[in-house]
Amino acid sequence: MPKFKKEKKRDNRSNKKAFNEEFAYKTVIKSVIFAGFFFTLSILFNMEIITFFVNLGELWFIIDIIIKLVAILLFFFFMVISIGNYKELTGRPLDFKLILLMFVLSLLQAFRDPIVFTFTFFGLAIIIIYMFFVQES
Amino acid sequence: MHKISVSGFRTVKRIAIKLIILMFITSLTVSSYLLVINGSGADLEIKPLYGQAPVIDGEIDTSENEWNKAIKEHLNLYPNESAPENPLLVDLWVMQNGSNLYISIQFSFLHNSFEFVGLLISSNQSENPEDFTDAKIVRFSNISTNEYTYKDYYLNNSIYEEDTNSNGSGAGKIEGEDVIYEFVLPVEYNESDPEDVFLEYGTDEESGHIFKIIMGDSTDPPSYPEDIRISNNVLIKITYNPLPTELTQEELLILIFSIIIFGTSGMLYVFYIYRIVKLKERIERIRT
Repeated sequence: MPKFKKEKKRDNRSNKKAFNEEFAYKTVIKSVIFAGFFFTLSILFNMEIITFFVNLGELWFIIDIIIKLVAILLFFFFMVISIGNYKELTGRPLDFKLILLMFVLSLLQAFRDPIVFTFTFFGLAIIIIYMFFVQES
Repeated sequence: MHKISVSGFRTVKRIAIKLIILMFITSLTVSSYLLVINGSGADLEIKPLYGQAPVIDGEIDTSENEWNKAIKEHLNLYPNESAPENPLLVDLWVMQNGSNLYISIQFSFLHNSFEFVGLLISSNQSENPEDFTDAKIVRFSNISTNEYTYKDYYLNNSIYEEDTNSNGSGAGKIEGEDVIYEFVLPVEYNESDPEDVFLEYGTDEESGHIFKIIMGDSTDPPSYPEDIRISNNVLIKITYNPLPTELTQEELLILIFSIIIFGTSGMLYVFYIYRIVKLKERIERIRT
């Protein structure tokens, strides 16, 4: 009788582990899809393939900057979430080098526009600080 | 055998990481060079591209893609160019269409009744005052009704004399604090006219003309150069280029750099998806 109980407990634990893995894997997939969407948006606007906001006045100029900025920041945000979960699934921590690589790759997307570049730099720094504190808590 | 291959893989991985870091340090250095856009004095050099001729009316019709091929720069105008303080930042747009040079100057300011903006043109790349022998000025006579006049002057020892034959044209329009000035100047037109600087196409480093952008509020009648309040120089090199969409060297560099950045990011993204798929397979293998 006690032996049977132990096996049941072990089954529950392995089921829970499988469920967590499944959940983490789904998060990896969802995050990478979102990141892909924002990366495409970033290519369109930051590579200046879409430029119809230019010359339409100050408001559209600001909207153009916001789109470029948000696309890069959310790309970085979702990629870090996805890579973080991926690393957790493989049993390794998300190391500093990967975050630095993502930071540089995201920042360089804004190289055409100095305003976007400046705001992206600070935005990325804020996201990293935010994630660091979330992780700590 | 197994140990050797693992250490070999680690060495390759280490080299790859070093290479990636080196590549991005180089990229950052290049991008920081490209970020410098504000010009000051004749440090600003513009090689106008070909585009469709805009209507010179003080308005930019975006539905007609007016000025969309213009080189767009920022320029600070100073009360005293030798002591650059208290600048007024203006947008400077320059383009050409094979027979004319088009220049637009835009800024936001509390406008004065007889405000004017003009172009003083040097016969070459010299910034000496005596080499500016031609002036094109758009001056408002009534800002509330947007009434203006365009005048073509010949500068004789800094004395502004109106041309016998006015060349080119200009326009201005004020809306609130925003103002748009537009100029059109003929290129390689009437070399024998002593009252105008002969704007010519050039390909070498020596070619090009210094344009002094001037702005001021005049008395009525105007008195130049006393009424000029702020100014700055820009070097415009008009190059003959029959291909309207040909990329400049800088544009080509930016395009290549963009492809490298977004291409690298894209490839890493695809590689990461591949790793995710592999991870799924590994998880399933462990479970079974």
